[in-house]
Amino acid sequence: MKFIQIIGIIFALTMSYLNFLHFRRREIPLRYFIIWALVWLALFVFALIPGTTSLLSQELGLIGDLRTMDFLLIIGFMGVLGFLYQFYIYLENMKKRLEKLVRDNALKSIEKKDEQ
Amino acid sequence: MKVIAVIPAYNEAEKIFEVVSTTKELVDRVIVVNDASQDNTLAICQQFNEGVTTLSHAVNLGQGAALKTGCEAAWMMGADAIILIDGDSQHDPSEIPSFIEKLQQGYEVVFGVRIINNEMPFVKRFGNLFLTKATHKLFGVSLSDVQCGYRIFNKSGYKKLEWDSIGYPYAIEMVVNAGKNKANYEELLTKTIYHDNYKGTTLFDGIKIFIKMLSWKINK
Repeated sequence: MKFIQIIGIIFALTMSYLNFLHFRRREIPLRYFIIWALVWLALFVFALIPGTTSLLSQELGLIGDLRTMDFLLIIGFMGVLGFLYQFYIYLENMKKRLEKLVRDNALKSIEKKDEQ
Repeated sequence: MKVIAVIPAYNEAEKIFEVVSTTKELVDRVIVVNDASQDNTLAICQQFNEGVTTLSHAVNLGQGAALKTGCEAAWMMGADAIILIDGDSQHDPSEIPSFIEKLQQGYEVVFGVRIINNEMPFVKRFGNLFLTKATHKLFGVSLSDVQCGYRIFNKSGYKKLEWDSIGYPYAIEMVVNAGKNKANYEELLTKTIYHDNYKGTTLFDGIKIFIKMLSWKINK
């Protein structure tokens, strides 16, 4: 087993553990737990049995190791972009909620004075 | 006509006392919205009792959000018109009567405009001219200075220019909305005052504002 494989396996196992931990603490919903679990499982399998990437490339009609790596990089890049977009939407929503909360709180002080 | 002045304030401890005390003599009430300042701004504003209401944001949101809070409070307090003034003394409160007079001529909104000359720092002058021209080209709204925050409006005017931006783009969004909703507006020449060349909108804010304008062009 090559050094990079060991690093990949340790990383995938650590991330799987953290994913499970956050799920048990109810910090992430079930669907995100499953998505992330699949991502780390795939990394674990690719690191443990590098030949699976060749099998995958044969199934998808890609030839050679370089093509397989290109394919994995593109998939990874697309995944990262997808997550970035989701985080962006999430942040925008949070910003709007925070703005409403802060402004409503400020206005409440007037209502309290009126009541007095 | 009950006129309420709304003053957004973020770290304005140096100037806010002077601005509020001068302004409160010229309007029915002053609302200061402290946008989570880290200096003594809040404590200074709380010294005023009569005629001044101080509201405070727990988190810094931006000038646009502070003004929204102030305007909502002003309408709740029965305002007939709201005048917006910066808390950093860039607007001369002695010009308030001219704004009120102009509004009473039958306009819904009166935008303060400055003469864009050497008194304005170079970067701000360039940015202002660019954004003013871009507003005209993109939205067909003609105003000599789209970035001046010294403005007065009545309730119908407010409904036509109500903004969503929480940061600096609010100033242009108001102008764009006024044009889009066909508000009856006029401009009024005001003094160009700059105490601190490094405060206010920066070059990067200008770029962000322009990008925002392009998104309004698509969405509005």
